[in-house]
Amino acid sequence: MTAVLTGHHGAALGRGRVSPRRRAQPCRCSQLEAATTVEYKDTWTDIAFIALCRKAYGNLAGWQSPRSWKAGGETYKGMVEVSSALMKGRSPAEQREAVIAGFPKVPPWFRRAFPYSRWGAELNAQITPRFFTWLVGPMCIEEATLSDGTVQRSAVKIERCRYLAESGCAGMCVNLCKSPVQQFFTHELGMPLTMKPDFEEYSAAVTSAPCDPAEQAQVAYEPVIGIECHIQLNTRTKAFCSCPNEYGAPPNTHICPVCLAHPGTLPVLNAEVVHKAALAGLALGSAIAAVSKFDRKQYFYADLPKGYQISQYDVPICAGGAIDVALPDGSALRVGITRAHLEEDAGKLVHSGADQLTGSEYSLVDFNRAGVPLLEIVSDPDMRSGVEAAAYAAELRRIMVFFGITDGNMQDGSIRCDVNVSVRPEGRQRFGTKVEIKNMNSFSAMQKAIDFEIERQVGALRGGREAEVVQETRLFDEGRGVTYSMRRKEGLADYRYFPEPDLLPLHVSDAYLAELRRNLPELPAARRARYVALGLPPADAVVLADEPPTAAYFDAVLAAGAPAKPAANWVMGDVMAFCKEERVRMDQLQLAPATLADLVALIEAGTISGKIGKQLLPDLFQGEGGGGVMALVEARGLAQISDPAAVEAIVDGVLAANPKQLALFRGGKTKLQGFFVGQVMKESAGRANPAMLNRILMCKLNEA
Amino acid sequence: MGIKDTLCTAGLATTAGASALRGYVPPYDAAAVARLRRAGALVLGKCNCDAFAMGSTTEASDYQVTRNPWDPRCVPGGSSGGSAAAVAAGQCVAALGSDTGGSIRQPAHFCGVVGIKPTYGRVSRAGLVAYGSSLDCVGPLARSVEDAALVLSAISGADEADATSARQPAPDFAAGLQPVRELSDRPLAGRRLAVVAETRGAGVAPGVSGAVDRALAHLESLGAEVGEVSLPTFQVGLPAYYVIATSEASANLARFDGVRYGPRHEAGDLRAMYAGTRHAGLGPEVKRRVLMGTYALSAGYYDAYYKRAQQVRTLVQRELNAALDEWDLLLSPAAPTTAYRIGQVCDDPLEMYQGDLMTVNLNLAGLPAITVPCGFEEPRDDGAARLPVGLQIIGRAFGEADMIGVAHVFEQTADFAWGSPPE
Repeated sequence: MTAVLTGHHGAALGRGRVSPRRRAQPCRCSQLEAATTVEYKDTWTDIAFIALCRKAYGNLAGWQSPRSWKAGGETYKGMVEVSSALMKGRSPAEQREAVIAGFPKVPPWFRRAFPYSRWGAELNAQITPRFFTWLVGPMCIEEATLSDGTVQRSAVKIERCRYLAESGCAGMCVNLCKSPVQQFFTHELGMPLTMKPDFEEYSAAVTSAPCDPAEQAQVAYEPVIGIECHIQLNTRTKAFCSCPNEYGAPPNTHICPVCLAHPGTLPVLNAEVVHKAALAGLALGSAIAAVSKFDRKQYFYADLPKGYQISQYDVPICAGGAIDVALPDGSALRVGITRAHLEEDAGKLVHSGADQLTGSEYSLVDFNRAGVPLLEIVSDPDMRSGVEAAAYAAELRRIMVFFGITDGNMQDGSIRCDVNVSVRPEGRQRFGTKVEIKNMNSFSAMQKAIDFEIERQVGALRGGREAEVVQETRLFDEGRGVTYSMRRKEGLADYRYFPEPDLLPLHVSDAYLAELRRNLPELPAARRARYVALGLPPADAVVLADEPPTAAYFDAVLAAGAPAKPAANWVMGDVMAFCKEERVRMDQLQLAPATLADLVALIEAGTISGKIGKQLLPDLFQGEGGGGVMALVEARGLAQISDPAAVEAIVDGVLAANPKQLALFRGGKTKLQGFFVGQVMKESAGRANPAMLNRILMCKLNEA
Repeated sequence: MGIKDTLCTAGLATTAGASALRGYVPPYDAAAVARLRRAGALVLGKCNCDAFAMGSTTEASDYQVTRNPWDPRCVPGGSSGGSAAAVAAGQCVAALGSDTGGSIRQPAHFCGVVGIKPTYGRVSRAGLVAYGSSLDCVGPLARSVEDAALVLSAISGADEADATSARQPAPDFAAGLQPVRELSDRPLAGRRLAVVAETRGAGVAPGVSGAVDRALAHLESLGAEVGEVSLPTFQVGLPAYYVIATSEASANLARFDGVRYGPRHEAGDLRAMYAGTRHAGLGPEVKRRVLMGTYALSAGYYDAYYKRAQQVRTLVQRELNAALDEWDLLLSPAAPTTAYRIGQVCDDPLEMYQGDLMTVNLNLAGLPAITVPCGFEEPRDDGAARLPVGLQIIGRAFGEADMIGVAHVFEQTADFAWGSPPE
């Protein structure tokens, strides 16, 4: 629309001025040509409407015009003045939002009950003159030609808009009238409506007709993403009974009357659950409630033994907070945390003969997971792309793993994320229809699912297929890279929450929190910052501070005195590759961090070359070198030859042994330098100091 | 001893009177049962009750009709009707019952035995098939106050398996009870007792009023000061109680779904399996209460019912505690009438619910109360057997000892209240 307006500016707005005190940002809506005075004969109802509108705008603007409320003309001028005041200090988008906020709220069922119809559009055109003459002056009904060629009487021509003429401001016309009214009719009432003002004649064409697909296709959409992460706490026992909390046991071996909900059994809260949840809250920067409570969330399902899940509904243990997420492009994103609450996991259905419900003959339930403690962390809707969402989830996982709160294994389901995705036209504040996606078992799958979903929703809206975007739960099919509908939510599911009478309110004292704070682990972000401060590139810091064993190993190598950069290279290179190859974690390595630091020190000092270092590594991985790497080097005679005389002797020997190549080199074939280096290295069994070798070799080669 | 069938007994079928638990054998003893066994008690058997303790006559048992030993045409009361009848008939020395809205005290009154509902949290609920979790209490029924006190002492005390059990040390409630020959002329001198004004007059059967009046006069003759206290919230407790109890029950009974234990209705899909299992396993009274509770907790109704009921509960609690600040103990009949005839109220749930008027408020407030036999309804002209009446004595929170002491003195001195059911 901005483009259209600018065109008109050029043609008609010769004397437009921007009042500098009026706006912080440039006003696109300069004053129009001064209006010629027209007499309006306002009836008392007209005046009443004008006064109502003037009052409402005044309330929004926080200022009322001193003009008279009695005469039609004065009242109208007063209304224009307050609407102009309404624009002060607001961006165009904020102006539109302010006006829309004043419109009545239309429930969603209205749009479903009264979808767009030709009849509705014509009725709308018919009644418009009766209701809005006081605002825009005389109107007449006209025919509208739709994009498919059909003609219907659903257009209203405003002959000379009183509001536009009185205000003389295109910006007020667009932001306080056209845009909000269009949006209200199109999105709230489900009656697509376009208003095309003519800023020369002050006339306007108002058309109720299905949206022009071409125009709709150009709308830019902004995705909005929020994530709910269920984190399984790695406590020794379950949340409310003393069964082991352990993944991978044979089915129904970690169960007891309590987690099977036998009659008369009662939940007793595990203190370790509170410890981990409070620790998580501190890591997220949340406010930890001095008193929180448990509630029953009721629904029937075969994996839910009690017929309700013990959860926290309105008073969660953690509220608020934020985490700083490192994005792959090196920038940072702060994602707000809405809340985190405790609850219990359900059992697991095992479908016979198929990996999902459809197609299986019967299902078995494994209750080992029933009653495993979960912390559900709900983010603010702060993410705008699949990349951001995946980076958030990865950072959240890292924090929880580094704090020892969860094992963080996505494959075992110890972290499960539900993602809420919606899109809205850029600049609009109200959220679009929210779709929930489940069933993503890696962060890259999450990213793909979200990007697919955004594209699906935008495609549907641009293509005029709004009905395809409904509130529902969709599953991600990683193989096909698509999301598909699992179930439609008919309104909100009614979980009949009520306070859990079997558990007392949960108290967390200041002293308890102070004790936790005293021994708080280092956040991954702080760790990365520390590594960067040591001179490491941010990308290296991310790799080293991704898993606790790696970070701990690297820190131990540093603590043993190794300089950061070479230490990082060894850890991220050969050590990591070995771990991957052998499927061991770094804390299980036989190569002690101090031994690696020893090796690095020998290389840095020039005692051995990097190449020799690599040669030694396989033995070091087997646990050799514990008595000092130097001893090993000496025992094998691998020390670097850094005595100039010794190196010179080898070089001389090589030159003498290869007269033909020497002649060619001296004849101009300088590429042969590499050949000589190789020969010297071979002769010295790789022990010649490379820098010295090069220096001496070049001298000798160029001697003659 | 007899054990109400709402309490789990290891290796012994526990059905809570409901088809949904037909054949269910728990792998564990309820905490109260385990403590009794440790104290040397022998469990003779399980006592019938209304299914899931939902009822006031034991007619809502899915298994058998239990009759009142004083008149077999009458109900024993409920829901601990089997426990009260077994004790009254001399089949066991004492029995355990459970009391959510009067289920120990009302049958004790109907059957002429002593029944104690302890303070909420005094006795562990672990192993008690839950009805209204915030109201449920386990307590004894016995032939004498002293027997009841002995049983209560054995089952009281903190329990790790019940987070709502109280940390308060449990005294020996029978220790201070004096034999009648050691009592002075005015053993209750200095005791300040008050009758709840709202439990007298209209709505209370004359036979009950008469017996209670004689009991009050007797208490005065023992030296007690007997006054009257008005509790304006008394009447609003009943609806609040039914909202809270049924709400909690709707969740507590969700576990009887046929998946893990109990009879299962086999069906082609999960929904049909649930529907068939619960249709067969839950009787009409249970269904009625589960539906009421489900309704009260539904979105849009929560504030009007459940939340409001909790507010009423707070008012009732405050008012009772204020009255108990002023008086040592409060008194009332245990129920408005003597035992109903079998079939008299079971088709009229509202009339049956009205019968809980005298008892539910103490569950809402969590306070202890004891029913002690206080005489008989004047013989009816139809030649029916005379039916016993019980006096309810209400104590302060964790003030069971006081309440038991007064009940004991009353019992030991009120010859007119004694009697045994016909052979």
